[in-house]
Amino acid sequence: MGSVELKNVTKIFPPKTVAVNNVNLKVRDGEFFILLGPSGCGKTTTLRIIAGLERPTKGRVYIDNIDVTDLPPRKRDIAMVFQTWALYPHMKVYDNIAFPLRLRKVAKDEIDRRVREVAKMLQIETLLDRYPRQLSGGQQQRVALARALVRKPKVWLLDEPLSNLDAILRVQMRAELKRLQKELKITAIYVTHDQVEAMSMGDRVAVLNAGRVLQVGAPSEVYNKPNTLFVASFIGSPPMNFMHVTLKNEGGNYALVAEGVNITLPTELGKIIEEKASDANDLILGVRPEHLELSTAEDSNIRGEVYVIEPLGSETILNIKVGDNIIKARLLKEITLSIGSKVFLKVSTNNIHVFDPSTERAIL
Amino acid sequence: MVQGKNESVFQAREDLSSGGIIDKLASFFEGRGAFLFLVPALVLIGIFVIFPVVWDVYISMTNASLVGPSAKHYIFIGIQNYFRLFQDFLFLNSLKVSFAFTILSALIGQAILGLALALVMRMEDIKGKMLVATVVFIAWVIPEVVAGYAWSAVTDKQGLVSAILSLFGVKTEYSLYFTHPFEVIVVANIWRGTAFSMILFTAALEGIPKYIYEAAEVDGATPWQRFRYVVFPLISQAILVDFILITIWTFGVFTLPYMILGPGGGIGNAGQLWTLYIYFKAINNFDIALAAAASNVMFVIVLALILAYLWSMKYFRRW
Amino acid sequence: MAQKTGAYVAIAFIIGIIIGALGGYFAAPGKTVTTTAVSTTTVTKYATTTATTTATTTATTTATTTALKKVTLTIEYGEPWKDLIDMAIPIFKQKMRAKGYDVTIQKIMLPYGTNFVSRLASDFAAGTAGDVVVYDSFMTAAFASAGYLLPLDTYVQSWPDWKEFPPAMQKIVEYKGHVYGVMVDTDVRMIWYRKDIFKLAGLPTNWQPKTWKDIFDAALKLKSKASEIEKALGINEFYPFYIPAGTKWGEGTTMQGFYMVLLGADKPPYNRLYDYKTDKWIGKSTALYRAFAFYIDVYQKLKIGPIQYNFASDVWGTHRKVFSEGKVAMDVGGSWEWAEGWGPKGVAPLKACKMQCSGQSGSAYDTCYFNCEAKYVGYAKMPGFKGGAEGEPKYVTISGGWAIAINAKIPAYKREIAWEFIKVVASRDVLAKFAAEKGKICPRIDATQVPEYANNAYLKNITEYLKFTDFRDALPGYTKVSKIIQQITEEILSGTITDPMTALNKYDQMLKSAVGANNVEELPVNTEPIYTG
Repeated sequence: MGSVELKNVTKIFPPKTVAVNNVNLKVRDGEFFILLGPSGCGKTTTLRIIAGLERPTKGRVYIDNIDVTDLPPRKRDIAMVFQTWALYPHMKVYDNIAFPLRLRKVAKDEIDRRVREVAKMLQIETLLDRYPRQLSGGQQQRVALARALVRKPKVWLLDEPLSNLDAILRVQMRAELKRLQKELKITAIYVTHDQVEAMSMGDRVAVLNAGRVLQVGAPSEVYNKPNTLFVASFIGSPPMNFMHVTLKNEGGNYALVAEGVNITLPTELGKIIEEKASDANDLILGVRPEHLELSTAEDSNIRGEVYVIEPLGSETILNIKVGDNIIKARLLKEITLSIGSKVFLKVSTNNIHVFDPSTERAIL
Repeated sequence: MVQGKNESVFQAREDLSSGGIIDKLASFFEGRGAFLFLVPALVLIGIFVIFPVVWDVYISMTNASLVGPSAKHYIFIGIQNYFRLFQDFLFLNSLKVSFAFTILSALIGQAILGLALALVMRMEDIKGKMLVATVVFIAWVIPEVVAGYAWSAVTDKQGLVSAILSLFGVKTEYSLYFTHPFEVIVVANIWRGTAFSMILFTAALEGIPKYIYEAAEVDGATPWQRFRYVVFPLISQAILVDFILITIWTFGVFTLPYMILGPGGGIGNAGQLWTLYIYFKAINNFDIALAAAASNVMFVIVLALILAYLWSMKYFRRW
Repeated sequence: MAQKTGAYVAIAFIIGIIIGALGGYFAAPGKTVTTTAVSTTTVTKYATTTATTTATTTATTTATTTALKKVTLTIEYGEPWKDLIDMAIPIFKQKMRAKGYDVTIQKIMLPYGTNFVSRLASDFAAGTAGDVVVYDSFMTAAFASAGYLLPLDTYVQSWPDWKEFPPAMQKIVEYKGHVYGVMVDTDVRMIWYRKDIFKLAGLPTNWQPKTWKDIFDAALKLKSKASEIEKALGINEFYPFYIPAGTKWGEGTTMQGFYMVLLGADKPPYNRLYDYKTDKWIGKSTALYRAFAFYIDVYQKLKIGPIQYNFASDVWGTHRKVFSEGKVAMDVGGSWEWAEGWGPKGVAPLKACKMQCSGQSGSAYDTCYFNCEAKYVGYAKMPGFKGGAEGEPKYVTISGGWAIAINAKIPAYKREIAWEFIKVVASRDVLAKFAAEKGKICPRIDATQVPEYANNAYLKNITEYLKFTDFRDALPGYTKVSKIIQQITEEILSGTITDPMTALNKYDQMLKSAVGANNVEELPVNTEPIYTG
């Protein structure tokens, strides 16, 4: 078992592409840690730096508090599952899985025992005698996992291992991966751009953008308390609604106001915003679609007219035109509204997010 | 659609059966249109490839000579030339020399050096690799005659090698191609032919995705293990192809050794490849029948080698 | 319908090929010409067979008698005969014009460095040889028996000049009683030596060995002074004695080297490769034994010969260069070297003489140079083994030389023209001038009537050699025997063979397999060592 720590890691690809920008991370022993971000955000590079496939331009990498920055991958006791699975085409499944053990000169019967054990765990015992090209995508993926697990590494690195699978298989595998990780108590670092995957699997999530770590925390924390506009927009589906608003202070009565928006704030909240905001007249209000509910005209603090209705069966996504913005509301009830009709919405002040547009940081 | 097409063909046949000679010919060529386009090529191949081969086999069973009475009237003497051939110590010597030459210069020299260079070419952070590649390619593209003269000059008593050796206090009494004819042509041929193997292996290595190397690296393979267990098996087919091609070529190499050593193959015939032997017999000794027999034996041996390669290829790739 | 179109195309294609082939056949110029050409006086069997294979002829027979008949004649010759051919062409053209022909000469000149004999043999075999060829006379039997050369008997019989060629020069180009060529140059062989080096070693500058022992003694004396000689001449290597050996020299090994030793190694007729009494090749004899022993002494036992020069990529050029540079003191070679080797326009002129005469130009330079050359380069007759004490010739030399001949495949109408060309080339003035210019011996007796030739002191001196000269056993099969000698001497060079008996046995065995055991005889062998000094 192992912990992983990155200290001030920067990776610059010549001539001057900054892939990873001064990243500090601490992955705890036994943790399922997610590196989440859009493509090109540096999450894969970060993972490869941990694996030792890339050398950081600056900074140090520690595994189990040992500085491994200058060690090649084979001396780091890590295992990696590649996005393409990277099975050896000329080896049978059995040999693919046994390969890392053979390189370590493990006794033959021990190899056999462990290969069969891990194959059983991943339900690929019947495939051991086949070549990779004879397997389906899901089967290949299991073989790749088996190969990574067979020698019980300190750290298990997974680079979008599910992205090449179809949707149903992907959902199945998520649960399975999580189960395996918990069962084997292996530290896992998992790279994904899929926030649903991140939310459902990770013990903690690090959200990356443009080579920087924006926020690290448990999925609920990242979801509920996004520290930046980017995190807020990246996590959640459908994504958070954003509107430009102004803070109005009428004798201690604070409210966030825009066309069709008038959210009265408790005084202490108003004060915090007033204090923190660089310009109280220009704020960004963030509301998650699932936190909007229909209400009466008097109770409502957001109003607009129905723009599009997306019925999804168990829920309905309502697109509402508020001022110049289109916002989405996720409603669990069946609705009878028609397009163009007026609609009154309510959001609890507990569930609002306020961002400073100049810094893109969360004020509330 | 398919049905319609068949019908029209059927229709055409009926038309033809009632026609004249043109129609009959047309019916003969019907569906053989592709063959027509091959006719000019087949005629040329027949004249320039098949006929000489047949003629060569025939000549090898006569007492034909370039000069003398048997140049005018040669007679069929069966396989006597082949007996003569295998009693000729020069021929047996040339067999030995050719095999040693092919194994040392092609299979060991060119292939291993080519593979090493191809691996180096794939490495990052190696300075001057383009320079090396350029040099290797130049060796490949310059005309063989020029290369031959260059090697004679380089290995001459007053040549580059002697000059370098003299820097280390080694005094060369004779030209290198004189004292070590075989070694000189082996090195010259490695120098000349490495580029091909390098290109072939470079292409094969390009075909291996980068993540396979990385997977092996993460799995704990040392650079050597990575080569031995992953890269090597994956390019083994390319190696086999390379072996086939360079074996054929090297057995047939003539110009370079001829330019350096002449038809005798240097002192003690140490570098007399069988191509040189054939030339020597045909042009210097005017014994074209024996030379024809020798070239047929060469053909059979090379063919056997290629078949062995192809056979092993068939049983090679399983994945 | 597409198939039908294909059939038409195919038929058109096939018809086209047939028409083209027939047209080419009938339009071939040789075809029409032979029907009208004047029949020649030579053996008639050639006339019927040679008609259709003339790619080089462009002769046409226009009806008008006043117009000149256009004829193309191809001449194949080596670069050494360039001046001869060039001298003859204008004379020949003019002569032919008078006879009503406009002759175009197409030259196939084989440059220095080419193996002329091999090249000509393969050209003959491939059917691409010239109409008129200049060939090495030792190949007369081999080429004639192959049917490559046109017999010239009727031509030479009616040619008054033929008697000017001494019997020896007529015999060289004969095979089975027919004449196949006309000699254009001849040669003798001798030991060339460097007077300046002999002087350095304390040897007489006017040197003439009487026995083989004299040669070896001189060589060993030179060898003992090698470092002084190297220092004096500013050279980095020195060898006393060079006699051609090995396969790289080709025929040169046999004639320049081996025959020069063999002919003096025993009394006639045992000093040859062929026994004319029994009509067999000699597999073993005292002469052969001694000849091999001579080579072994030179290259292995006494180590007085330069092994590696025999393996140079250009052996001829190397042997001339090293003698000119003084790296070799004695060189067994041909009479042509006086001019062709180290003469003023030779391959490797003497540096000292070049400097000495650098102020002059033209013929004055040549005269100056030759005078200088005579001070540096001497020539001695090759002695017999014991100078005649055992009945062997006192001195030996051997003549070869090159002859001009007509390709047997020449179209009949061109034969007369080709012969006219040969007559011009072999005319007294042309041959004598060429011989004088090249410092070669002219095969015509009447050459001495030409002042250019008569005034040459060197040529006058070596003409004496013709009195005792000999010829090769150039019978069919000779080339094979010659190759065996080259092979054995090469093995002596490389040290595979180190004693004369092994060489002799191997020679005997190879000879039997090459010409058949019943064509080989073995004579008693005296195995006394040839040199004990």
